[in-house]
Amino acid sequence: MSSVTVDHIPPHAGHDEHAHHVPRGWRRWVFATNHKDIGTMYLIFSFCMLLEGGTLALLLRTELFEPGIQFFQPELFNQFTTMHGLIMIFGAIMPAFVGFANWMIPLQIGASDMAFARMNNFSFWLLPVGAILLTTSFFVPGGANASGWTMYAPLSLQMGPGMDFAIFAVHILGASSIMGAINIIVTILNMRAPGMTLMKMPLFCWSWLVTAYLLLAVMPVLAAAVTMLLTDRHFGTHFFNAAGGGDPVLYQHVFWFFGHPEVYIMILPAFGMVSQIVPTFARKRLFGYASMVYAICAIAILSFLVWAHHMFTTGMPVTAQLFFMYGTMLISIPTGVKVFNWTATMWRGSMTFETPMLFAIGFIFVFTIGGFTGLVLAVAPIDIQVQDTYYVVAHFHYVLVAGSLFALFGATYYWLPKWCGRMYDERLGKWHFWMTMISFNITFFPMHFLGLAGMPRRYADYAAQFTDFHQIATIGAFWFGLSQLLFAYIVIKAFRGHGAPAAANPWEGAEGLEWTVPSPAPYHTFVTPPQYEASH
Amino acid sequence: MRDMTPEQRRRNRRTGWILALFAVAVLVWTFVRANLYGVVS
Repeated sequence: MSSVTVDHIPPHAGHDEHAHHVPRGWRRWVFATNHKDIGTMYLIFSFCMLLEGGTLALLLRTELFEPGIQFFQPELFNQFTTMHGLIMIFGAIMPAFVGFANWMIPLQIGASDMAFARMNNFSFWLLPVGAILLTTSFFVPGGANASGWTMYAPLSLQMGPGMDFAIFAVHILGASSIMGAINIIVTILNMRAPGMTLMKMPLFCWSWLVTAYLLLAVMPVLAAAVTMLLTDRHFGTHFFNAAGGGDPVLYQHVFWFFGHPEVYIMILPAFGMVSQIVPTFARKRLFGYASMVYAICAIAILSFLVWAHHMFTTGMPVTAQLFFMYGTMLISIPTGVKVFNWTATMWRGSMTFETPMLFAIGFIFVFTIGGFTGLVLAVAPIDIQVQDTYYVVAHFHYVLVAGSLFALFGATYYWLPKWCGRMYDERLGKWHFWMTMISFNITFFPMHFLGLAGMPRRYADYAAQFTDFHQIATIGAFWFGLSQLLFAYIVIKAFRGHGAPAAANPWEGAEGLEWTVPSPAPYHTFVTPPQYEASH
Repeated sequence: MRDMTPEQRRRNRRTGWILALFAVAVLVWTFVRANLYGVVS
């Protein structure tokens, strides 16, 4: 967004409240086709799943407070770790980003709605079905899937019916993602306001356009992988069964061909959000808009070429190890470009530190730590030493919590005035940020030391020398979990009408079409497409 | 929602179908490739 401004759009020109009536009651939500309603439902759903996945995490941390088995047998502990991962990835983070896409992409590009409004409704309503399958699988004989979120064969071939529940859930959630991706791509490609060329699009839209292509390319791969698991389990095939001539390592390759781009699916929209927030509160245009776009594309392309760095201990030729090692390191270049550009945007800006900016700066700091530990893990000889230890757990939580979740919090505070027409409680928002930031680091920083000392992941018990760091992590985890209740309180308070009324553009330095419509955004916006003109 | 013109609907539908076919092709390709290694008995 840095290189463009909006000209010739009078305030409030982009809406027509009287063009259509607003549906009332339950029908408004069950049959919703309005992008804002569907976006709201996605966000509420993802927060509920965040609480469910978070509760599972706290159960894990409770068990790990002391060595020995305290509350849960290892079988149940493994179910908790698996479901925590699946629920957080497919139920919380991905739907949260889709919720933001639904709310903000049409507003940012000047479209009246998403391209396929009914498919949008269907995409959303698949999610609760998947969530119910995942949650109820705890109560089937043998319990829930306990093979880890990666569902590696042959372990996953030997599990009880809980595994089938997980497979169907992944199918359903994957189908929802694919439909969502198609909707987003078509909306962005075909429904931009006149004058908004691709290189004038807000970076959040760019990040989502690339993410949607990633989703389209890799979700079918995951669907195929779990379908093959299903046919191996029940229909006599032997894709991954060595006894029948199949190859369990094949599953790992297919899974990680999906799994590594999936990591970027969960972080690229976060990059887009931070790229919106930083220029606003630095009151400067984003440094290097074009290079940000190219960096997103480069990260997406490279993400297809590095999957086997998750498999260094599986065994592969040295040449392959070198290829995947150097390929992985290459990703740090476009990622570094982005971190540099955010920093350069702040350089000599008239910065203020409202809650969205705090989360954005927190993101840059802490995500970069996660990036650096990723570089350490990219080095094959080191990775072989710390494979499946808490070092890896620390790394991906620095990327997915401090990365994705911090960006989601920041973006919520940033766009909340547009959604509900009220300013959130800034003092409580800052409290939320600092409690989240401190408790996050108390939880996950000690895990680096645990991993380097040899503590394996997915274990319910451990040797006594790991106790101190585990206890610190558990205390931090409960603090972190409780801090998120404050977030819920702040958001609900704003939606209930408490707080100062928000102007159409409540942020001094914000640019973009979404700030040209009133706050809260009317039910129908941009009924007549706005004319978008660049100032340069 | 603003009623889209028939031309815009057609354009959206065409793009959507192309993308959907791409997703199906990736799904099929994954099965075909896996068959080269794994075995359907």
